[in-house]
Amino acid sequence: MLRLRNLRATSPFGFLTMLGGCAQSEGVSAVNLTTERGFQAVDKISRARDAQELVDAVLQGLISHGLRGSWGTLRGDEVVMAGVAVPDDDTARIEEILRVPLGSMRFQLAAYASFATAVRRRTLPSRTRSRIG
Amino acid sequence: MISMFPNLTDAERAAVRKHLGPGPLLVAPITDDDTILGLLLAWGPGVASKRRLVETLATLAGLAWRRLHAPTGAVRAAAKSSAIPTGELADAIAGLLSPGTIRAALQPVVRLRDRTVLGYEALCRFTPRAGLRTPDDLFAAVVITGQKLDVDAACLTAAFAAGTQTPPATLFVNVAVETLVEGTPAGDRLSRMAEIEGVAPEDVVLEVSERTPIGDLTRLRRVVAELRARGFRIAIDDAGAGHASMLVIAEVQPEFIKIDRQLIHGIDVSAARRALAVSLLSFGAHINARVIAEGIETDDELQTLLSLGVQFGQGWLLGRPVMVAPPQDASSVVAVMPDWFNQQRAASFRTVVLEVSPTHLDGRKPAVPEPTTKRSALPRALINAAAALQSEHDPAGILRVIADQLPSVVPVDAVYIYAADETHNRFLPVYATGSEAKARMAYGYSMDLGVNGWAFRTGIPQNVKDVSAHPATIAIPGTPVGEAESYLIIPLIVGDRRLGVLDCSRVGINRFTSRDLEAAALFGHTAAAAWRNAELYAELTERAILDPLTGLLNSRWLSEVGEREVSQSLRSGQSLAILLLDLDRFKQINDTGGHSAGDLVLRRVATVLTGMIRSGDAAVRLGGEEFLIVLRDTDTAGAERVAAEFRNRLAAVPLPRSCLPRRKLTASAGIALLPHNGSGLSELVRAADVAMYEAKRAGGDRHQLSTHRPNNRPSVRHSSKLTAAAAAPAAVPADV
Repeated sequence: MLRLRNLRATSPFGFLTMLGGCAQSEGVSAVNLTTERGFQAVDKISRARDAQELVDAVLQGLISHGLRGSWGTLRGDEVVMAGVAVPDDDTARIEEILRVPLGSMRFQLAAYASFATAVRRRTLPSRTRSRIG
Repeated sequence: MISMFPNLTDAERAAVRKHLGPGPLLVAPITDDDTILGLLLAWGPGVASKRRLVETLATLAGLAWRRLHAPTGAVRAAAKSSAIPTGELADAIAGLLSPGTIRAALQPVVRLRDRTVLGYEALCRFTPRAGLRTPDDLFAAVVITGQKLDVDAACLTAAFAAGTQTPPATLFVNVAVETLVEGTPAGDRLSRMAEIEGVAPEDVVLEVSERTPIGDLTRLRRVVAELRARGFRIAIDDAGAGHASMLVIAEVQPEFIKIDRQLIHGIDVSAARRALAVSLLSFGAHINARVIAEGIETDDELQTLLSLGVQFGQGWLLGRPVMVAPPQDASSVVAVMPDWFNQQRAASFRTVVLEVSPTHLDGRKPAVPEPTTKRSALPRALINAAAALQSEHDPAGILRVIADQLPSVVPVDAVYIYAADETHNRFLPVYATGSEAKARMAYGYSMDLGVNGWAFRTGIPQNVKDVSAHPATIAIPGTPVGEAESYLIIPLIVGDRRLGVLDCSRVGINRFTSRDLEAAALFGHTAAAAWRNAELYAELTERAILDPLTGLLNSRWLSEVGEREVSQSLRSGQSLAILLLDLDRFKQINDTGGHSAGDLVLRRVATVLTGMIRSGDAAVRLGGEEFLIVLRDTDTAGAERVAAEFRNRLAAVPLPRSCLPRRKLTASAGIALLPHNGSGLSELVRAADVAMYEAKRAGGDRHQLSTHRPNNRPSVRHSSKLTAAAAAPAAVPADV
């Protein structure tokens, strides 16, 4: 979809629209660096000094865009929750119901089709080369 | 999301659903290149329309994760675990500090559209030792051993030295933020190093990269301002990954943003990476920075970047790092001969020397000048411009007025005006200001080409935020390649008449606002109307002084302008000759061939006249078959030569078949000279007229010099052709 739109965007009339409009048009929502929340999200991610800061920065990015979410680290065939982005009050209530801290929940990868699909979907070809600069 | 908790009661499920929020669950993989690190889960209001946002955050998270763990982490971990003793590491690094041990390979930075080399990035290289295989290993190790300033200095020296091998091109040199903010003032230090190696700071772009997060942004701002004051330009290296935080980019406001190779790798198959690249492009446009993609390795990546609008890049696909005689084991470097660089199709990023005054040394980049026209001042500026435009009636002068008045409405660095030659479908440069004026004026081109051709076809004023990136852009010979330039293109159209285009140019990307476009469009309407009015005025003026049948000047011109010509010659002491010509027996042509034949002959005579006079002379049809020539700076001999030449050429004019048996045209000419035969136009014409009738009376087909003397009775001297028989005045023969 993006590729098709960009091909059209290279025509003289659409080029600047594409450039200025970023990837926001036609319902596609990406990180717009020119907005305060987009800038803050990317900046915090790039400045993270350890894994926990990174998880917090990513989840903060979700929250700033009106979403909730969690970061699940892959450990073998399990997904272990490393962080959850839910308002504190809600977190307390959910943990009370589930009787387990959200941040330490584990899920079997195979038990959830969407998890397994997301992992399989990752098919980038390997073209890595050592950094030279 | 709620489906992840299958063992809940309905009440518990409802409570969890309430607190988790509505919507489906999005799952995006977080990867470190090919390794799955984890999953980013997202849900909430509108999550379905924010799929790309979630994927982008997951991609960023993966890139940041890689930066946190490798390769810096690997070397640090190796050092901490004593796999490489710190002392041994320090000794190995000390060995690299010997002059010439660290050397720089040069990798081309190219314009993606045509692969013109615009500069080179200097990449440090050395023979591997003590576990230090790559520059990343080295830079990670110096953090542990505390030798980072020394190693950076050695790398900078090598980079500057390598830069002297290239033809004039921009040299991109890596420098760590820590190097800039620590130690002696970076401006002095780097300037001195560049000077020693013979590289001008204006040709150097310092690629700032953060190896560790920088805390003292205030000091960084000050250092960057100091570097700019010395001519260096700044690039942010590894943008989108590594430690190139957005805050540092925003504070530094670099001239270049280099997108990290990790972000480019696989960009053709990753929608999230494409979205990030477009975001950086958009961000770059807002802060007036050019974006360079690093690490382009496949044609798919290149084509994707081009389709996204990325203009510049580097990578193995475009050019591998080269070095004259590389060190051992530098497998990533291609050995070249010294003249290799001269064989590249090369240009240069224009050296933009920023005007940094002492007030800018507080660390702020010089602000983009605000338009001089405030909202309330615009109407006044337009009114003043309109008044100036309406007061000019000369089509050439109106162009100068347009160029003069435009800056009062819209801030511009240069103005280019092209006339539309619809007959030949070409843009003709008619006026240009600025440093490229000469090159612009020398190059016209097809109206089907260039951003002007595109805008002209649309007929709508256009704000081209980056001309060099526009698909329709063509190269104007003699102008810099790859220069960042913004255009307002205003088609100049009045009714159905398309006059041309007005280009407002500013150096830099995205330098015009929508309000500038609006103001320029308003100005363009007025300018186009004024230009057309001037053209019409010129046409009317021309018609008023031209004879409609022959296209020669008419008697109105003679009475209005001819008198001035005579007065001017009299004042300047220059001679001037009047030839009064009358076709012999012209009535015969009208009678035999009709008036159409007569008109045809008159047009042919006019062609003869215009073909033989000089550019400063004037040919006038006084009426009927009577013509007059004003010859500037001409004496008696010259006038007689012209008269004889005219009669010769006249004899060769073909006559219409209907005029037979008449075989050729002849004319009688009277010549009067300033000041010998009069001091004013009317007196000279009278003298020439008398002389012409004398020639008629002598049988025609000859010229006669006037012997009239001001305030004396006219006398006549015959031309060389005249015989003594013609000396005595005689009655003019009928129809001569």
